[in-house]
Amino acid sequence: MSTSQAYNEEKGGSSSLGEPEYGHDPASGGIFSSDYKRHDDLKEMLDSNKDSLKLEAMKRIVAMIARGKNASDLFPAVVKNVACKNIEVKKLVYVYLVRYAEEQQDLALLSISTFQRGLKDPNQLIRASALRVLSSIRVPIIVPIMMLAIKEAASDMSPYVRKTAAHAIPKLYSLDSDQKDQLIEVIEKLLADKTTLVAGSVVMAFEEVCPERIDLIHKNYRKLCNLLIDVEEWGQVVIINMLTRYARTQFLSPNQNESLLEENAEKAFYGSDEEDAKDDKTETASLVKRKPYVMDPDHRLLLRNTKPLLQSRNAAVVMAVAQLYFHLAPKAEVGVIAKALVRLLRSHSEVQYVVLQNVATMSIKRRGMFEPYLKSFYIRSTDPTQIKILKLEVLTNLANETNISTILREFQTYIRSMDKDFVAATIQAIGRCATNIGKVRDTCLNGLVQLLSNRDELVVAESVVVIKKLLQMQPSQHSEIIKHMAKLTDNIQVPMARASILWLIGEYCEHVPKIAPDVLRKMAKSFTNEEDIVKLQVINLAAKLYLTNSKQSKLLTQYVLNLAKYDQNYDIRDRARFIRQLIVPTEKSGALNKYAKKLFLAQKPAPILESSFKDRDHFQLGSLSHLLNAKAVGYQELPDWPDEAPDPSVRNVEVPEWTKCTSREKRKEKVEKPFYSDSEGESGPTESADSEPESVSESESESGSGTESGSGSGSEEEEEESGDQSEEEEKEKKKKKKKKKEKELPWKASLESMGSPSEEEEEEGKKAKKKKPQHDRKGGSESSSEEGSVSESSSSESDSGSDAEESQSETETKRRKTPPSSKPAPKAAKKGTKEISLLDLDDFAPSPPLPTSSSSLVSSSLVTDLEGLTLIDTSLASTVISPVFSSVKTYELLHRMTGEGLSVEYYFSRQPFAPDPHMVAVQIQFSNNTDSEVKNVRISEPKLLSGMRVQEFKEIESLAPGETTSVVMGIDFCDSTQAANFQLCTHTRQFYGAIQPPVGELMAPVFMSENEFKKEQGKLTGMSEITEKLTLPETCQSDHTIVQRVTSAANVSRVPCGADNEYRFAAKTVTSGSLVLITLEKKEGALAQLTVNSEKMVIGTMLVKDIIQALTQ
Amino acid sequence: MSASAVFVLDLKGKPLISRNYKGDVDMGEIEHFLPLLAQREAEGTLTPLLTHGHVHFLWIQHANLYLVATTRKNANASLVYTFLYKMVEVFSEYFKELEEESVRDNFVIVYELLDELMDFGFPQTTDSKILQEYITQESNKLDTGGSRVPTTVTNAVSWRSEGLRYKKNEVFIDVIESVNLLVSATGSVLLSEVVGSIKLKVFLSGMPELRLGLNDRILFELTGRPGGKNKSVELEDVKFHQCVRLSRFDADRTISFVPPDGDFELMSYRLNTQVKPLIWIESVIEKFSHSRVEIMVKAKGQFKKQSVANGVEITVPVPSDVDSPKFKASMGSAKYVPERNVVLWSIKSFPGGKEYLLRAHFGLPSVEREEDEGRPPIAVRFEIPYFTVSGIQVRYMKIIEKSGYQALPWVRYITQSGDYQLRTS
Repeated sequence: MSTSQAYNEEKGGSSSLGEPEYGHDPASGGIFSSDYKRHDDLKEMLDSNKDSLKLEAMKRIVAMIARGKNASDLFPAVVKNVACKNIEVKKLVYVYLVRYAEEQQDLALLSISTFQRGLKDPNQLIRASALRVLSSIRVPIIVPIMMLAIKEAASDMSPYVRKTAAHAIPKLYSLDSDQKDQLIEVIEKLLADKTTLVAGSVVMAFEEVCPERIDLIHKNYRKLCNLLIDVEEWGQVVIINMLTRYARTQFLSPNQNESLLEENAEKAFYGSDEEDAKDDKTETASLVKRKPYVMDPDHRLLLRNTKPLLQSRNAAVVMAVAQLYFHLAPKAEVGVIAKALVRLLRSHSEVQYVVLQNVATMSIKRRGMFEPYLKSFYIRSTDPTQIKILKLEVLTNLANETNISTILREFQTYIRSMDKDFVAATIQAIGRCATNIGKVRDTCLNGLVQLLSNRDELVVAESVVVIKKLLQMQPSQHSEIIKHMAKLTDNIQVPMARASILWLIGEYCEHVPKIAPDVLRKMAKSFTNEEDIVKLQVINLAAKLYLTNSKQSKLLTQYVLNLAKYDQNYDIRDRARFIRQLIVPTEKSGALNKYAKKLFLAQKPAPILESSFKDRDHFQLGSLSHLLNAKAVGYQELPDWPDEAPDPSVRNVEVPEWTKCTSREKRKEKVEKPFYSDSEGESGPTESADSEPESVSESESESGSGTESGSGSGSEEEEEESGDQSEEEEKEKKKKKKKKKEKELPWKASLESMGSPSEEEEEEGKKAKKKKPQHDRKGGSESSSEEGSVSESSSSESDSGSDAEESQSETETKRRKTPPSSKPAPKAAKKGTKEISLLDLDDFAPSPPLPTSSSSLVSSSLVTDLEGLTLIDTSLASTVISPVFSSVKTYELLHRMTGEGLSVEYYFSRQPFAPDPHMVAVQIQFSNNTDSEVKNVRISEPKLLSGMRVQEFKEIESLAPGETTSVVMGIDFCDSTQAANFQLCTHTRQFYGAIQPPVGELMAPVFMSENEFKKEQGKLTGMSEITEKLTLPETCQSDHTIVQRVTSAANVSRVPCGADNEYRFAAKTVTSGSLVLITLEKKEGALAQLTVNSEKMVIGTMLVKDIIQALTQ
Repeated sequence: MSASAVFVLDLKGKPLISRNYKGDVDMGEIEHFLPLLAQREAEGTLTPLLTHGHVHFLWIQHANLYLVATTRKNANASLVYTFLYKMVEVFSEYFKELEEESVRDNFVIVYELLDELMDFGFPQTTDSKILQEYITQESNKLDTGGSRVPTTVTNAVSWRSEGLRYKKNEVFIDVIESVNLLVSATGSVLLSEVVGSIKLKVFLSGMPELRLGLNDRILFELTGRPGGKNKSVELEDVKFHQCVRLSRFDADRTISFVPPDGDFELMSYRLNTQVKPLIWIESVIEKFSHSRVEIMVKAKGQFKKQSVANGVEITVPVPSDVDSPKFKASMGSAKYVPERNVVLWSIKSFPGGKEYLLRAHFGLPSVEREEDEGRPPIAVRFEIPYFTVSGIQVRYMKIIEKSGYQALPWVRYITQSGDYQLRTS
């Protein structure tokens, strides 16, 4: 039937009856000329006993409400009709009631009894709607009645009524939050409901009332996961969001290995593989690692069951799944959501807006995910501005060295757009690309310079501002551009751009010595007509010129300052006065004058252009809070992953029905049912599932449908067990298998039986239709579920595989950093060298010991690599007393290739760092392999974690070709192994560098007696003591070797010891000075026990691993 | 979780309809909406999310109406927008067209619908097919209405009601593909994709179980069928109507479902495979400042000779200050639309392989405009019946109903232009 048609008829019909319009037309208000009349009229109609008249009256009243007219005085007349039999009238009365009940509480109570009656109605729909209206009346007096009604409805036979009950819960809660405890009980009950209809609504109630009671979910978790796909769309969204939060509290991060990798730039541990063993550093870190990560099967269940929902037509569902994957899935699997999100870009612009915001956030974290879809983010001229800007954001985030040329070409098109805001945003985006990707910086800069001759002033202005930022990063090379910009001051009128140009010229006036005074001259002329920000910059420029080139600009400066002195703006007047005092030496102006140059011409750090979407991912994606980038009311924080997995057994469901489900006879019945999981929904779990046995759907059982059928009794199954023998046997086997599985992994098995009862079910299905030809049945679900699990494990394997590769390569690179003969030298020798180096290092830098290492550097990493592979063992054994410097491990800071000929290495010299005893001394060695001189080598912009400090070395004025020099720098690592990041600048370029200390270098040796040692050790027991057993290899039996290896692993000194099977060492951490005591006790055979006592447990643990590593290699 | 109240406003920001679901936001707050909107629009920072104090407005515009959801709390934004569009969809099904006039005409229904669509800020029944079953204002149905229970609301198969009867059982399948294209000024294809959808019009009795077979490559590979003989297509981003069993599709690519009655979109998909642009445009736009603009546009149909594109419309942008248009087209007719600043060249039927030419000549005023104008892209609209770009085919449509009636499926293929743009230099 065609309802729309019917509707039209109705419409036509009503008008043909010539009824008064409940209308819109102001003119028709004529009917309502007098309020009294109108209301009397309506009241009369409501009092009549004809339904049609009542209905008509109600329609008119609702129309009044809609138009914002007050109809509250009709309340008594209307409320009488709540008992009306006619459902249409009733509905309209409900609309009215809900609107006015709050205002007329006493009268509203009149209607309550009707609702109470309605709650008992045999018709489920009437029960539900009575409950709905009752709960929508916001009258505090009826709270107890509502509570009662909700409780009753929660155990109603009809799932629809139960659903309505779930909806009523948050309503009651908002009316009276004291009812929380009772409501939670109801929620708990409803959570256990097995119908899809209720699931979404009750989770919604849960989120509104008690989102913190995550423990209520445990028992229902698996059920919710399995029902999810059949829940209606809106419910899906709520459930998925809730489960995201749940999973965050209950499972371990699937990316923990990677995240550790990211943090420490180190690798995971893969046994004492020979290759690995050679590399101390990697091993150190790897030993620190927790036990290998295995995904909780429940976690996997959630990911697997939500994945198909990416195909939902509802954008909100897709978005919900996407955020779930982003927050919960292993890095390797997150990719699947990219495609779905890109697809959402074809929906309404508001949805696009939300999606793009989320994509922007994600693309910062996981750029690779969206890279294949780069073109989908190209901007169309029809896009609204806010969408364009978001797309631009995403494109910028996605830009990297490979695709940048494509993106820049695309940006060029955008610059020609008519939408000026968008053009400005594009120019900024170009600026960001240029800062992020060094390769294209010059290209971008040139492009932007071309834009300076654009006809549109806004474009020019925006370009100037961006160019300014870019030039600040590398000013020296671009005096041409500065000159060009200087010329522009004649034409550009936009104040911000003028100000930017003036600032640039002032800042880099030494690069344009001839032009700068001239610009000042021009600006002085037009000074009075400039905007305030421009004036300030003119003063600024004048001051800087005065300091650098006072001969030419003295008078000009005086003139400008005089002008400024009488300016209308007090800010400018003040500035002028201040600057005059500062730069012009007078007899009164004292100390500051000397520093004027330093004040004005200090190095200014270049601005960092970064995305506004950075770090937004701490808000749960898709939420309003994420959209606002601020916490909205009621935002549930997405918790961080726990460090320790909470007990997974809480999710086990002990209900025996699940397993009984597999019973065959029960199954046969089920198989024939239509397979939407709550197809028996109308009857609900309390009614027995006996309806419609005749429906023969050719389609076989659907997985998941079985979950419903648990309500059956176990007894009848037993009776009918004696069936076909052969079948029985088969069955038996299967059961046995199952049991076996169960033994191994008891709860996993139960999960399986829950998650995919289809396996068993399928079996039944086959039997039921065994006469049907083979191909007709669908073994699909069985095999697929098995396949699923297999592929899953394999995929996780491959994950770890790729991990391994990654880290392998990482070790590879790291190994390069270790020169071949860098193996431990005897302690005595080292002691000796320490003295030498203390005196001589700086002077002797290019003398004999160093060239060896520098030359090995020149010979590129490959050689060292090869050497490392073959020579290590022998060199270890033979060269007990090796040259001093090679006994120290050297790390690479900058490779010759990346450093464009400049190579930098560092090692920990183990000397106290004189200027600050809390710093670790790091010896840095520069070798210039280029043909030209490298000048002004220095450190800038250290990016440090809180508490860390860096004492930079003195700038190296110049480094002749082929020359090598070394400097000492102090770093306070705060007793942590986090890397210190900084930029290494030369006169032409800057490089990123990071120094990361092995734990053994974070301490300095202390000398103590045996008694002292024992006393201190006594204080550091319990948590502070870490003991580990180990077996010493043959190569490491002699005292000498042991001591040597320990001292090479950590900067400690030996403590004398009475017993000869014990070795003791002591040290203090550099920053906090906490003691670190090491005891190694040799036992029978090659066994030994290592004990480390230290308050710093992290250091202790890492140290134990390092030392064991050093001893057993 | 979701909206606190929903408003329907006219263009002046006056509420036509307001429904307060939660009561935690003052209904008066809506008065701030339009001023805020106007202000943001003037600043050029208009977003679909506006905030005034603690109240957030999530809004969409449809025809001459604003649909606004207000919330204080941390709502799920995508859910709210999806819901608002769903509202538009439902209202449109009821009133044919949703606009101020139709809302004013139907206050009562709108109220009833709002009641059903959302409860306490949480979306409820939003399927218009079901809503139409029990939200009717038909007076003649009232006598029976009291006892009637729309089972669909309470049923799991919420999109189809029981007891439908048709004399003739038929299913019409429309396979519609739209081509999105973006070509740079230099003639290289930047983006080319096909977005397809399969729409069904179902006139079937009872509760039929349908199974749709497509020449889906993954399905072929799954079943081990040689894909070589029958051309198969690789579907991406398949999106289904809620009636399709997603878990089933996920497992073995079977598209099985109990259909809603009447019209609905069963699925949509996307193909990323590069296809040759169906209609290729080359254009030369020469602007002689202060005198004239000469435009030459060449359109070529790059599809099979047997097929014919209908209703081809090529929109060529021209500067806003042109005058005295003159046209010469080898086929079809061209006209100047000054209000959009374009030339519209329409060709009723455009056979494949053919090439047509349009020359246009405009005068330019001698006084030139100050600001530089951008060059909007050339847009093309067309429709090619009996043809799909992807080569997708409906292999079968199985209809199984317990009464065992015979039903006829009809299939139709159409390819049309989507967002089809060619940039001009």
